Amino acid sequence: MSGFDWIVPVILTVITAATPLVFAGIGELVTEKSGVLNLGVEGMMLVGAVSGFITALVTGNYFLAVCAAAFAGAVMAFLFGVLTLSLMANQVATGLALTLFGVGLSALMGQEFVGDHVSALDKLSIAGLSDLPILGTILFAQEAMVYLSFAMVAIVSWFLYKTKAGLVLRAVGDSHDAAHSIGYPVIAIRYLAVMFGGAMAVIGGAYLSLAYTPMWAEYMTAGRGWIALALIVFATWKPGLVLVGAYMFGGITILQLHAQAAGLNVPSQVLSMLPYLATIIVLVLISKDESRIRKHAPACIGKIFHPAA
Amino acid sequence: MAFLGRLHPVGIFFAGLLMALTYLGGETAQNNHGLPVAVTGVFQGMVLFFLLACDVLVHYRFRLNIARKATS
Repeated sequence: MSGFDWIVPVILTVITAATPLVFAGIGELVTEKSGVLNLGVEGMMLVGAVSGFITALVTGNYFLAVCAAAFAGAVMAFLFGVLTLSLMANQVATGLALTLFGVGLSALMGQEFVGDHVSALDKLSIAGLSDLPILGTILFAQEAMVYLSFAMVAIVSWFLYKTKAGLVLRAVGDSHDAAHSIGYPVIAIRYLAVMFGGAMAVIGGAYLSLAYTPMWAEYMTAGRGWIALALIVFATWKPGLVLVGAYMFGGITILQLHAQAAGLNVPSQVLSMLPYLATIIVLVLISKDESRIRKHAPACIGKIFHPAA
Repeated sequence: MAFLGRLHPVGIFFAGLLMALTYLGGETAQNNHGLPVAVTGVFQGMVLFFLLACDVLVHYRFRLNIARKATS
């Protein structure tokens, strides 16, 4: 028994590190499947983190906090939609502008709350099951949001590949002209997908400020939004692989923390680089096999839809 | 930001100057009015938003739909 004692806390921390990535990744996946590339994930996550945190601090109601965050994210994503879908602006530039804007806005909103704390999100406890020696604490005693993240992956996977609406969404992402010509409302579908992506990204951000570190600090996402974007390429646009990838990146993040704590004779800066380094290496390896990407990538991603009269 | 310079080498030079100005302005605002540094980011984001949104006016000409229906 004693030899495995360290495993449980490691797995628990991996789960908390991976959950924000799962949320942000799965939301952005739906957005990209509809053919829109939203590079503003980082900015949206930050706005979600701060709005969720402030709501939790003021009302003390976590459900309300997550709802407020999701609403803020949908508003941010709607702004992105107005610019890229209605006003046909460049998606890459608009996404970067959204990140700039989100980083600034969240710092502005959270200025008075830096250093404040809320009590961390309660972990569920199921009578009997949660008290099991090892599996109990790992499987049955997580925050509700962790289970929600798994549920979202299953729902999105089912929606995209098993429902007609999902098929339409993928059609819009693969050929907006064809989808338009059979009469699907391309712009409306993309608006919905973008807003869903925004809401998911900020729920990931809210998890950061409510459960991972129950406090607010400027730029607390520390690049997680960008990792979530890389995650989708890593997962070759498949929901299940987003989950695997998120846990892999979460694992590396935690691994470097534990390595630092264990006093490994490596500069801590090098260890902090690991998750980002892993991102680059994985992307290089994935890009080697071009056919894998081309098979699953939405063909119209990043292209502006302009209905021909 | 390359887009602020309208994707033109000389434009980027001036865009850089403008960005530098917003950073300085942000610091001045912080000193004189007690605003947080974060307003710089908000302001830069908004500049880009408006610039990108303006492109629709540059690229397309508004036409009254009623008039078109009447002629066709």
